[in-house]
Parts: sequence; C-alpha cells; structure tokens
Amino acid sequence: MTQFLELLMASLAAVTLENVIFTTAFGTSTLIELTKKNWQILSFGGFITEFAVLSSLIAYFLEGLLISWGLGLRLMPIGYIISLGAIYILTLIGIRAASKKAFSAMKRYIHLSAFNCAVLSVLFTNSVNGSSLLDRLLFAAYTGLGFMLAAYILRINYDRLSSDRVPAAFRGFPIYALYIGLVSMIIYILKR
Amino acid sequence: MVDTISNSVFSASDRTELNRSARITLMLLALNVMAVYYYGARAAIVSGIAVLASLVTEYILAVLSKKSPRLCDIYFLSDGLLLALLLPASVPYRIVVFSSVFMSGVLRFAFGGNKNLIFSPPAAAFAFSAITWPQNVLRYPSPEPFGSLSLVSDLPQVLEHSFSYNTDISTSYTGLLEIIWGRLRGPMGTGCVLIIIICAVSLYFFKDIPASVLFSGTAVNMFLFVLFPFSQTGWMAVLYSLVTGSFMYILVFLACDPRLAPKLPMAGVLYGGLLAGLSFIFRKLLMLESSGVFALLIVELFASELERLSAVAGSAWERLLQRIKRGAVDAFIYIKFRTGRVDARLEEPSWDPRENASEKSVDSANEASLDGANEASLDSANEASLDSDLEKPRKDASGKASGGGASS
Amino acid sequence: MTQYESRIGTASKEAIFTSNALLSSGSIIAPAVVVATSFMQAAALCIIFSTVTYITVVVCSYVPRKLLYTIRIIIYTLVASLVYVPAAMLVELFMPSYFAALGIYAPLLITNSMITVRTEAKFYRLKRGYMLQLAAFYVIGYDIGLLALGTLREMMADGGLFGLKMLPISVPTVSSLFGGFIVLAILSAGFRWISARLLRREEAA
Repeated sequence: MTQFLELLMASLAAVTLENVIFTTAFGTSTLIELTKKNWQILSFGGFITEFAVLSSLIAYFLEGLLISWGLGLRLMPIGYIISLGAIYILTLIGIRAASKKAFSAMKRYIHLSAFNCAVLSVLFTNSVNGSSLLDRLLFAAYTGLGFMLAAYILRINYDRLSSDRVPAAFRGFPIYALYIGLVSMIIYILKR
Repeated sequence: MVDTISNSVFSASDRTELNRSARITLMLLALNVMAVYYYGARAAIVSGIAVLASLVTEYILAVLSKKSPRLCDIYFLSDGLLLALLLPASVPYRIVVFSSVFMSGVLRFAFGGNKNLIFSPPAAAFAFSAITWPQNVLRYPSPEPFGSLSLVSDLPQVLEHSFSYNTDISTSYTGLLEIIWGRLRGPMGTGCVLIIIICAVSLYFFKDIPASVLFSGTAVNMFLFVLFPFSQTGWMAVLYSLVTGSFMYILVFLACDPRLAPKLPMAGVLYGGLLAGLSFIFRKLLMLESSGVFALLIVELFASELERLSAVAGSAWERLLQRIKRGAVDAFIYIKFRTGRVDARLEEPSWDPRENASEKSVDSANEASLDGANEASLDSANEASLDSDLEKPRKDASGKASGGGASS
Repeated sequence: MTQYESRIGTASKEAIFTSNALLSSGSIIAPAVVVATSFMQAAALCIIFSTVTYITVVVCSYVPRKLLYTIRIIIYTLVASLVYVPAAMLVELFMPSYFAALGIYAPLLITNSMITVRTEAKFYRLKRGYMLQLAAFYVIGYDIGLLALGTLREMMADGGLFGLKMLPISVPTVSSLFGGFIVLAILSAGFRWISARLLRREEAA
C-alpha cells in the first residue's frame, strides 16, 4: 500500500512539478493551437501519449543497434524520425480501418500530435538520460498526461483569455504566453 | 452638490464600486499608519512609490490604448497599497517601482482590467518579486515603536527572516501584547492582526467581502493549526494561526477581493477552505514565507472550476429537494385519503339500501372529484416544478453571467 | 516598381511583421523561451534554425506532391535531421559553449512548424522562385524575433549588454522559463502594437 501511495505521489509530482509545458516549454505552440481550435483535450493528449510511449519503445531498440554498430548517437535524430513516422503511419491505418468517420474527424490533428516538440523531447531526453526501458516508457506516459493537464489548465480560463476585454495587442498568443508564464512561475515556486 | 455631481457622473454600479474601493483603501491606510509607527517615514515612502508607480503606469497605458481613464477606477490606489503592505519596509525603492509597474501594466492591463482578472495583481506581483529578489523581499527589519528606518534605498543593516518563519521551526515566543499590536518582524502591513480583524468585520457588514470565503478560510486555518500544530499548541495554536504567515491579511484583502472571489456561496466555501489548506501545506512542507500568496495564486487558477462545480452541485441539490418535496406531498396525500377510506369502512353501514346507494354515489362523486382535483393539482405542481427545474439552470447561468448581486 | 517587386515587398512585410513566426504567430516557442537568454545564445540558435529550416524547405520543394501527405511529412523531417548534423557540427566548432547550452532544443528544430506545417500550408502552393524568397523572409523574421528576445532578456537579467551596465535594476528571473514566457508575451504585444500603428500610418498615407 505504501509503495502504491509512493508511486502515486511520484506520478503526481512528475505530471505537475515536471510538467512538460510548464517546466520545459516543449509543445507550447501545439498546446495553444489545441486550445484555440477547441479540439478534444483527451483525444489529443491520448495521441501524444501513444506516440511518445510507442516511439520511445522503438527508439530504445534502435539506439541499442546504433551503439552496437558503432555509429554513435549523432545519427539518433534520424532514428527518432523513423520510429515516429512508423507509429504515425500505423496509427493512421489503424484509425481508418476502425472507423472512416473517426479518421476524417481526427486526421487533421493526429499529424500535429505526432510531429511536435513534446513527443520528440521525450525521445531526446530518454537518450540523454540513458534510462532503462521501463523508466523511458513511464516518462513518456507522464509527458502525455502532463500535456493533458496543461491543456486543461489552459481550457478552464479560456473564456477570460479569449475575452474582448483583453487589449488588442495582447489578444491571442501574447495573453496565452503570459498565462502559461504565470502558471510556470507557480510551479517553479513549488519545485523550490 | 457633490452628490449631484457624483450621481450625474457615475452610474449606480460605478458608485458601488467606487464606495467599495474607497472603503478598502481606507482600511489599508489604517494599516499604513501602523507601519509608519513601527518603521517611520520609510513605510509611507514605500507605499507612496507603489501607488505613484501604479498610477503613472495606468495613465500611460490608458493614453497608449486610447482609453480615457475612469474617475471611479481607483484600483491603482488600493492595489498599490496592497502590494506595498506585503513588502518589508526595508525593500529597495527600485524593486517597489518594478513590482508596481509589473502589477499594473502586465498583471492588470494585459488581462483586460478589473472585470477579467484571473490572478490577483498584487499577489502575483509579490510572488514574482519574492522569487526574483528573495534577500530583499523575504527578509525583514525589526519593528520598533516610533521607529525610524533610514531613507536610503538600500539599507545597510542586517535583515532576518520573519517572526512566522522562526515560530514554524522553533518554539520562539513573544509577548501577547506584541502579538496584539503587531510588533512582529514581517511584512509592513500584515502583522497587526487586530486591525485586520476589525477591517474584516466592517467590510463584512458593508457586504464588501464574501462571508463564505472569509469564514471558511479562517475556520479551516484554525482547525489545521490545532490539529497539526507547529510549535504552539491549544489556544496559542489558534492565536498563531491568525497572527502568523500573513494569512489574515491575504485572506481578507486578497482572497476576498470582490474582483476575484467566487460569487456562489458554496464555491466561496471551497475557495476559502482550499486556500487555508494549501497555505498550511506550503508552510509545513516547503517552509515558504507568506505561503498564503502562492496558495492564493493556485486557488485562483481553479476559481472558475469551483464556480462551475458549485453551480452544478447547486442545481442537483435543488432537483433533489424538489423530488423529496414532491415525494412528501404524494405520501401525505396518499396517507390522508387511504386513512379516510379505512375510517369509512370501519363505520357501521346503515341498513337502508336507498340511503346507502345515495351516500355511496355522493361519496364516489366526491372521491372522483377529489381525485380529479388532486391529480390536476399534482399535475400542475409537477409541471410547475418541472418548469422551474428547466428555468433554474438558465436563471443560474444568467445570474452567474450578470455577476450576481451582493455576495452573502 | 514592378508587380513582382511589390508582391515581394508585401510578402516580406507579412513575413517579418504581421505573420512573424515567433512574435505574431507564436510558433517554435520552446527553444526561444528556454534557450534564448542572451544575445549570443540567440545567435547560436538562429544559425542552426536558419540553416536547417531554409535548406530543408529548398530541398523538399522537389519532393513530388503526388506522394501521400504522411510520407511527405516524414521525408521533410528526415531531410531536416540530415541537414542538422553538419549544421550542429559547424556551430559546435565556432561557438562550443553556446552550442552546449542549447542542449536538446537544437536538435528539436528538425520538427519545427515551418518545416512540418507551413511548407504544406503555404510554401509549396507557390511558384518556386517566389516561394524561396518568401521562405527566406519567414526565416529572417523568426531570427529577428529571437535576437530581440535574447537581447531584451540579457539586458533585463544582467542590467546591461555584453557586460556593460545600462539599467539601474536587474531582474535575474527573466532568464528562467517563466520569465521567458512573460518577456516573450510583452515583446509580442509591443511588436503587434507597433506593427499595427505602422500599417495604419501606411494605409492613411
């Protein structure tokens, strides 16, 4: 029970205090697009989690191969793109096979949820840290969940952020950036 | 004549806002007087700089955005004072200027003014300053009666942690009189809790602050201090919960700010309780000075969700009450008429068949008409309650959108 | 002025002012906010970004449009990752400390939105000659935004530039992530305001 609680607390800390948006800014542009276009947070966040976890899995084995061939990690970005591309294609095929209606509704943002900084940062960070497979998969999952939390935090005050009362110069991207900055400030305080 | 001018210049809502701001400013000036008593003219200078910087920023931004500044908008005054009273009297003037400009220009203007705020401008400005210059903003001089700190911007003397910080880590004790009069090392205006409580009571009676936030925050804070004491226990723990951590100041003037506090009572209770809980946790686990400010920023982030939650819970509760009421009415009618029929059966029937027949027909006619009337009344009651169910969420939404009346 | 020249002029104004990738559209924020904490840091990032993005856009303009959209996007990012390797080696050679400070934000530029989104949405729908000039202006626009952000943050954090004290106050937290967001928001708002005024004046004239 204690271990479960510890894991829960560690997961909560990972999703909030190490939130991908508020501590590393990865995926911020994507997040703002998601909020502006009122896309489904759960589906989008789910796709990000899926891409991050599955491409981490493939990248882990690719990394092992590259190291065993003595090619060094400088070529890893190519490996990341290959693994991400493969998962992207398989996801599109899978959704289209499952439901054409769902495919036409989702296809416009699957591409955005695959090729963005948040997902790629997971792959890079895992390589830099050199962690085990389980740690990499957990990190990828936390990143996806952290993205969903960040999207939720942005969505709950969306009415005020998109209000006409906001001065014209600040309307749109600047006020979102300011809001994200203030939330990052709060998380920074808690981390200290 | 003044009334005539103000009546013609300001609308009713503007006048209410102006009166409210004026009262809050007056309370803050009272706290300023205590700050001047302990720290000398420097306290007044710090407050003056904060207000002036805020005013100048507001004016410049109004000119640049081609909006004429409203006469009734004196929030630069109250916000400037709120920020200044959170700072130590020893804070360098340039930090006060920067914080005030940041508060007015970025935290208020950029978000669209007082009617569209997410974060309390003085709280967020203080938090930014505390992170940026912790040695200047979170270290305090010692208060002395008729004290007089140097007017030089950067004070040469050694500054220390606040009284609250020291009581959290050790059983440091100070005289009761000192506690009552606020002669405690800490922010300029947050130590004199007696005056803050008097302000809270008068603001409550003027309906300037929501009671739900005020009472729930105070109650939860006291409860947590008694349950999980720091260094003092029992009644001293209750006293310290009110006096330390600038909590009462933050609760009364920042959390209960009418621009930001939730309008619905249940949301206010949750808001105040969460603020107290988070503030306590931050003090206990993170040893943060003025932890209430950081807790407030987090709670303000979710304030709109608390409103939504309480609106949903409120309408669900209304529907439940309606159902219980309908059920009670049905049960009452059922019991009444079932009991009536049983009484009739227990009576000895008269043996005149013609009498019986006429009685029975009258009875049955009565029953039929009664049943019909009951059904009709029940149906109309049901329709009325259904209508009111359908109407209520819309009324709630429009009530919420219009900002509601005076908060309870 | 010929029609083509005036079109390029309009496009350049759009790319640098009204549709500036960083300051107007808010694209490619992460490296700007985290890494561009000083002028030199921003310059190092500019070099990698400009090289990777422009060369990728040029090379990938030859990718046949008949290919599936999915395959095209994968090819673009593959080309970018190939271009990144020599670009990174070059910056590492001449600015080793600044390159090291870029961390993983430099390689992440291979999936920047100018390559994955704007190419399909805008560039590859235009004629190649005009497109190459327009892409160059978009890249320059982002670089201007990045350098302005880096300069402003260095001035505020250190109270001056290149070690020279210019301001009476320094705000060290603008070098942090949240400080970067706040400064970017203010810079973006200021930039929009100035652009709007300039455009209004032009229209009035």
